[in-house]
Amino acid sequence: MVKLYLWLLSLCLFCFNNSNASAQEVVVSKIDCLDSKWQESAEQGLFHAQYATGYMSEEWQSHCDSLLHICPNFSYIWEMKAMPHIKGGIYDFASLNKAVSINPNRQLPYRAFMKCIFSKDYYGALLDLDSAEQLVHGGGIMDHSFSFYKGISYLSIGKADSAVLYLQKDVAEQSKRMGLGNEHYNSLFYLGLAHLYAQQTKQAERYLLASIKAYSKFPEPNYYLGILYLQKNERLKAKTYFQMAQSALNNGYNMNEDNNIYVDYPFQISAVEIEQVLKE
Amino acid sequence: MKIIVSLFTFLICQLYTLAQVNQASMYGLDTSFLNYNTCELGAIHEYFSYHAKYPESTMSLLKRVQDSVVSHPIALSKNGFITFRFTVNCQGKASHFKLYLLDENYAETIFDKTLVLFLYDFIKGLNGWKIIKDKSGQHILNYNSYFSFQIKDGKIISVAP
Repeated sequence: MVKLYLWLLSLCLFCFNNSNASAQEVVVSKIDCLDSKWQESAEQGLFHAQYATGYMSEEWQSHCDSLLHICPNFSYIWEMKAMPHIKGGIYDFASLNKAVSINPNRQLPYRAFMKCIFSKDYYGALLDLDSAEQLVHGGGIMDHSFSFYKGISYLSIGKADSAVLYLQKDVAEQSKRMGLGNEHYNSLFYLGLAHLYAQQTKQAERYLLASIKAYSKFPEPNYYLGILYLQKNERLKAKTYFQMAQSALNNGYNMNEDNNIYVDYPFQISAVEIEQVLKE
Repeated sequence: MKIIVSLFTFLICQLYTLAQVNQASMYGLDTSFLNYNTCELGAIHEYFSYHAKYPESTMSLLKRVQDSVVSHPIALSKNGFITFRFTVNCQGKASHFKLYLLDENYAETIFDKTLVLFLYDFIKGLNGWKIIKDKSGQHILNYNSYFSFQIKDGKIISVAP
């Protein structure tokens, strides 16, 4: 049965790409867009297209357009149409908005994520995250909770106190679910950083050290711990952490987030920042 | 007359349905690729396929551009996103520019030319691009990258990627 769907899908794509309207009409009439098997086949078809043409290609957009011509209310395809554009800096939120209007439970969290991490539109992300929380209470996206993204969004717009509240919630949820000491190092890092910006040095030190304990080669908490010690005028200690951050960066360590190859995460550092503080 | 109006409406609708319009030529950006270099022709890759994000953090770039804008008489009166897509050629230089201008709701807009050219010059001044080679190590590859600047309430508040 699945093979039949794949065959139908291939035929549709072929027909559409060859502008053979009459053949297309015949096939389209046989497809039930709400059928989960058809949707699964379409997603699989796109998966294969990714390897055949790459998702940054015009062909990829044609594949998406063909599928949307057949099933215009297939939210995942709208997402797939928008995703490569947004990853490449062309902020096609119009397609993503369409996806959200069709399936808000699935697509609103994704749009919030894309705004927070890719377009760095923290105000827009916060609006989406609020709505997503209403729809999917206690939900998350891309391995992190809504609270995590709200925390880093607030931190990025200079509202450290709000950031602390949401990042505390994120860490507390993980402690409860997975046990103390098993929280994600990025959650611990951002919570430490939020405390640092909120001028709560003791808590900042605690969480930055906890992040380093979970992932010792993590450049960012090492760097910001150096900044913390510099503020406390503990220069030797600061230098040690800056050097650890530098060594980690030079050896290719980073935040370990999947999307880090595309985009910097908020407050991510590079060699430039470390060279600057070590020079001073 | 009716035909002209219909055609115009149709064209506007077509523009609206396109993902986004490249406005590089309207702002006089360098859209050439091979005119000023000796790079080999071939497929243009994407920066992320070769871990070729610009080696300076966007946090550092944001600070630099914010510091720089202070000493220039530039109006940042409009909110939105100014995005430059370009190809880093075999000489490690940004070329073949495309420009996308969006307001804060991600709808097409225009920005003050002085601001666009200021940011364009900022990008042209970045000279730390990675040179990437093919598997044989013999050929330098050209790759696409981008910078997007977000303007809000009279400030440049973020740089992507």
